[in-house]
Amino acid sequence: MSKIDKFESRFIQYDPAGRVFRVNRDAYTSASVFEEEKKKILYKSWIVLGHESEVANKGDFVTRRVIDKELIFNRDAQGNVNVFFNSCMHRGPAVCKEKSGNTKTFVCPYHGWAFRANGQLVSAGSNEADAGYPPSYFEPGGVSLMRVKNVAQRAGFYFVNFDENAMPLDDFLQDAGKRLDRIASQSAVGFEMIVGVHEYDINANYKLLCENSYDGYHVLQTHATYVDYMGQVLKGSDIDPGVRGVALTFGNGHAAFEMPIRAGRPIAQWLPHWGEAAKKLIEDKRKEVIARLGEEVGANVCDMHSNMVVFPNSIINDQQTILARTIIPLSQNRMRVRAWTVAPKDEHPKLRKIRMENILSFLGPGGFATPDDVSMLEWAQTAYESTDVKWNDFSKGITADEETMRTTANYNDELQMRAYWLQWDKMMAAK
Amino acid sequence: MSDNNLKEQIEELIYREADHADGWELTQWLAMWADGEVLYEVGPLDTPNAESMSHNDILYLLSDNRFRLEQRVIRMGKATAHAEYPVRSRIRHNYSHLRNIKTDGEAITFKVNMVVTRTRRDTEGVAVIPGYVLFKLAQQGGSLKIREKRVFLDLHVLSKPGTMSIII
Ligand code: FES
Ligand SMILES: [Fe+2]
Repeated sequence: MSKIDKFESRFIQYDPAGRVFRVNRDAYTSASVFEEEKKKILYKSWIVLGHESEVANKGDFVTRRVIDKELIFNRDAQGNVNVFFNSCMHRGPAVCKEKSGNTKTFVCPYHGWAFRANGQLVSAGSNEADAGYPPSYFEPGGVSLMRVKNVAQRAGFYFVNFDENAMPLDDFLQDAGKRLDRIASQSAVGFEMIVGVHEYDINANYKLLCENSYDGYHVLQTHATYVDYMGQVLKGSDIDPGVRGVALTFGNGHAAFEMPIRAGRPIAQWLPHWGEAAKKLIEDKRKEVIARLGEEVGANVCDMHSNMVVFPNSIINDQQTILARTIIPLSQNRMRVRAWTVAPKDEHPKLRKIRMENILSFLGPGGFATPDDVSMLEWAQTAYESTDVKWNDFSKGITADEETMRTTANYNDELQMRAYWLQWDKMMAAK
Repeated sequence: MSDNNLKEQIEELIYREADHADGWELTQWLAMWADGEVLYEVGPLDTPNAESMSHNDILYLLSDNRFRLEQRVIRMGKATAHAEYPVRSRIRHNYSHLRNIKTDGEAITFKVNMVVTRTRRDTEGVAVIPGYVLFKLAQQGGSLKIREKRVFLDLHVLSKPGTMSIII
């Protein structure tokens, strides 16, 4: 896809020559649109499930919801990674009630059916019960936990897709895959999941958080207090506090913004108040990255941060830390956010401490920025539902000959959102 | 100091702390903290043994040292702290079940149960935020000051409570 001519669809008014792009608020407020979008978009796209480090060892498992499906994500005794629906094949209940752990078998609490970590049924609870079933039930190819067919990973991030005919993950990701590779190249030895997940609900449509997360335009206004705070943090450093950068589109609705790091980061920007010992560690880290990736790519990995939305609902930010926000859309006007972070396995304790402090000042429901974002989204949703205003405006920075695939713009334009909405609209137009 | 006397002093202090938090008297609230390094934090949700693990190793909901605590108070006082402007959350701290009072030199530690109610003008209903607090107090200039306040919530998800744009 390249240049698009003027058009008007059920949800979009696009007039490049007139430099206008609008989205109908039904896309955020209508329960029937939400049901339609589940079928046409959410169940047909690759959605981030978790990270390979969560199932590093044989027997490791986590249970998790993706969209509206309860899943088990595990590594079995053969070392294979599986994703199962968390429901007993006998008469229903979840076979695993814990959030995470390590186990060889999942045992249903109701009648005791036991399933191996590879999904296979091994027992119906007792010899007496086993005898009541055909022996083939307990053999390979017999009864098994139901598997999610499409599971794939890129750069350590595991994705699922509930569509029988899903395209391969790499085709889906287009250039967003390269961005994930780039993020993962921060460490030569791999990553570990940091314990503690920020889970919170927002009374707004999930797409509002996607838009917000790579919206460079709102930063100075919504986050005025955070900008003031960073001014204090950066006192005495020679880091330019100005905000600048680019928006990048990656194809298939994926996009990001990329900016110079200003808040310091273990990989690799030092701030004076971290002290001389940390300075040496961060300089060494920078040298290691550049030696491994070359001057140009290495410098980009060390000096830039990015916020990316993998269409339709996975946010992967490479900021003060590598932070994923996966969104469970609960209804057209409510979402559950699950924010988790990975860090290099071999990170020096001093740098890990810096990373953790850095995360806490900004991110999450107790940080200096997220609460204000959440309020903006909730107030927007409320107004959509309680006024007659029909359209949202995404025209900023639009040009008559705009390309929305694989292109760049100013970080604070709205190109990235136009790319998202064009993809969304295209998928909603499917029969 | 007799045990009863100490218990009374502690109660007096935490009730005053609650009053300042509930009244959005941020400057007075901050003045109750001890000089030097302090710790104000809310632990991760749904994490077993969180209180024995440090915010340097696991992801807390919030964890302020002195610098960030002061910055938090400055931020909360501004009209550009949008989440609480122009109408702030109405909050009410209820502390009860004061236990495990221990003195160790100048330091006094104890545990107290907590229920905070929060009402927001633009959100229906009242959020109930249950948990407990591990306090550490310091003797300073003849009076008790807060050295640490570590909050652990009985919640799996921040669902109803909303974001932590209040003093918890
Ligand atoms: S429903 Fe699971 S064993 Fe019967
Ligand atoms: Fe924001």
